[in-house]
Amino acid sequence: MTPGWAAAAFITSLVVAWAIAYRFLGAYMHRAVTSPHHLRVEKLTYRAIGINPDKEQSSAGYTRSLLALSAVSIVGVFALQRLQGHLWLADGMAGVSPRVAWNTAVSFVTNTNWQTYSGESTMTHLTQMAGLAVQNFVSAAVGIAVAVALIRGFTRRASKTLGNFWVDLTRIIVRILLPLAILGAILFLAAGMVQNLTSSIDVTTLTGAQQTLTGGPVASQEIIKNLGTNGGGFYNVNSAHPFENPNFATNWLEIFVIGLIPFSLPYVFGRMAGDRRQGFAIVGAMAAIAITSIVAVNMLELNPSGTVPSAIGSSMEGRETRLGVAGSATFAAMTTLTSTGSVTSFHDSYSGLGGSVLTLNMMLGEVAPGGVGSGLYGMLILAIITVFVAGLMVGRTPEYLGKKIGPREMKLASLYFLVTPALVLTGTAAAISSPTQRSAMLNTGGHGFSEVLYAFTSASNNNGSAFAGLATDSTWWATALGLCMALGRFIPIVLVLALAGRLARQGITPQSAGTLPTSTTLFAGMVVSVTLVTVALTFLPALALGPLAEGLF
Amino acid sequence: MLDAGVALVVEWGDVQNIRTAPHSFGRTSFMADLGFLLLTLAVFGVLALAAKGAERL
Repeated sequence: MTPGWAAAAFITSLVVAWAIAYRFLGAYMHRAVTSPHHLRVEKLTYRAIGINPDKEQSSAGYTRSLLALSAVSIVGVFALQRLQGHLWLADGMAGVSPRVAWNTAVSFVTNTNWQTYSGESTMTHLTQMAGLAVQNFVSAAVGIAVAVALIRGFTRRASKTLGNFWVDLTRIIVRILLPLAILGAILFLAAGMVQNLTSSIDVTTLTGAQQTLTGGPVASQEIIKNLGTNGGGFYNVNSAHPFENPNFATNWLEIFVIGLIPFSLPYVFGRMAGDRRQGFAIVGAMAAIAITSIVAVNMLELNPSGTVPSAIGSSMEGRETRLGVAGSATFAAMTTLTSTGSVTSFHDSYSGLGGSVLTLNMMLGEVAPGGVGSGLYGMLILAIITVFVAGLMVGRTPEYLGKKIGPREMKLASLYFLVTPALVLTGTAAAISSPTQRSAMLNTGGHGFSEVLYAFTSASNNNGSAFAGLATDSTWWATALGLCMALGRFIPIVLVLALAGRLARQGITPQSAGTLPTSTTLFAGMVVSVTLVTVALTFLPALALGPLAEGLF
Repeated sequence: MLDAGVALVVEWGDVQNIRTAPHSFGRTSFMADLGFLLLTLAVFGVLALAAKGAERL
């Protein structure tokens, strides 16, 4: 089998698996978030945190609860890292420096998982388990909760409430994330991933060299790292490490897990909206962009350019031989299409055009399928913009699911769309215009610019993967990227919940001859077009200066 | 699980060190800690204002 056909089989098997999961996991998640009954463990949780699960919150109340939890989480994870040397399972490790601790706390609470540290030599097992892994669950659940709140905004009539944030959060963790994580961790263990609490072991290799092997609770963190589209690796080299991604089978499984919830959530949207075709239209738009991107990165990387790759017939620089070019390219495309910071290869080693596609994936706002929850609410915002644009073009009434899209709704949707580009482009410009910050670039010219652009794109879109080739371990970079992560996560969430509140207060407008059908293939195509055109208009000049210039010349 | 239990028991004594933790933090790192905590407060203050603004929009 040629590498091209092997890649095609690899991608096809993933698409089939996601298509099956869409129906079954989607139905399960729909039951989990809409069930009127509380489980015993959930009731105990509500009693412990002192909330009435049957009392719903307004959009303002929902937002306040979310922001309060996130602020407390950042302070908690920061403190845990600073004090880790004096806590259990320290194994001789000292506390993390203030700048790295703050950057990491913001990074994990915002579902970004940008890492300016080497996990195995910086974080104790306690920090990994009680700080970082916990936030992998909580930040993922926050994203799904916001998506569910927005769906309720579309489906409720003249309602002042959006649900209860604490109930949504608890249910998503207890009923969806924990069971899937336990099942996945067992599969990962069976496939060869490590899971222990041992300290490091010094071994002599076959060549006589000394090597330190670090164990830890890897499998349990690895599953939620990918399931929650988080991406923070236990080891510095993330999923390229053989303990974190031992073989080709675990690589397939990790990619599948990354897309599992994001591709299944549109089913929940369709069911809650009372029209499954609405879910199909959204997942269709997501799949069209995702498959195109995955195929494009594979084609660009499987057809090597440059002297050395052409001579040896393969672009193996920065890739693991056990995973291959297609396994690495598919992983890279899928992580940048979602908000996952996991990596199996150096994105810095990709061809200019291959690197452009990876950067573009994040610039799309990570909506295809995007992060858990954030992908769906991002795509629904784009659907609102599409309805408005289509309304302007053909004179139809801007409505989506029976809700009128008026000037105020459009202001919120437009502001949502503008937040991330503003952060990416302002941050990149600030870094490039300062000689001191420019010195963090390990390459000059277009490639160096790509490294800076990628870093701000990754942080602002809460992706977390790094292009590499950029020394970000300074106070300026830790603070600048930390601010991008926090504002890139929470300003859009604030706008989405405000929009959800406005939509929920509206009644349902009956469909008329002037209503644009939003469950058709045509509408899905329009959403894709609007996504591509708006993102291209926003980012093309920046892409042209870096990765595109490098790829075309 | 046995490993985890043993490790927790063995390391239990280390919790006492928390009492002396501030002594191992220099003035510079204390100011850095304070700075980052104030920055967090400022970010969430801005977000709270943004939430109010978005409600009124």
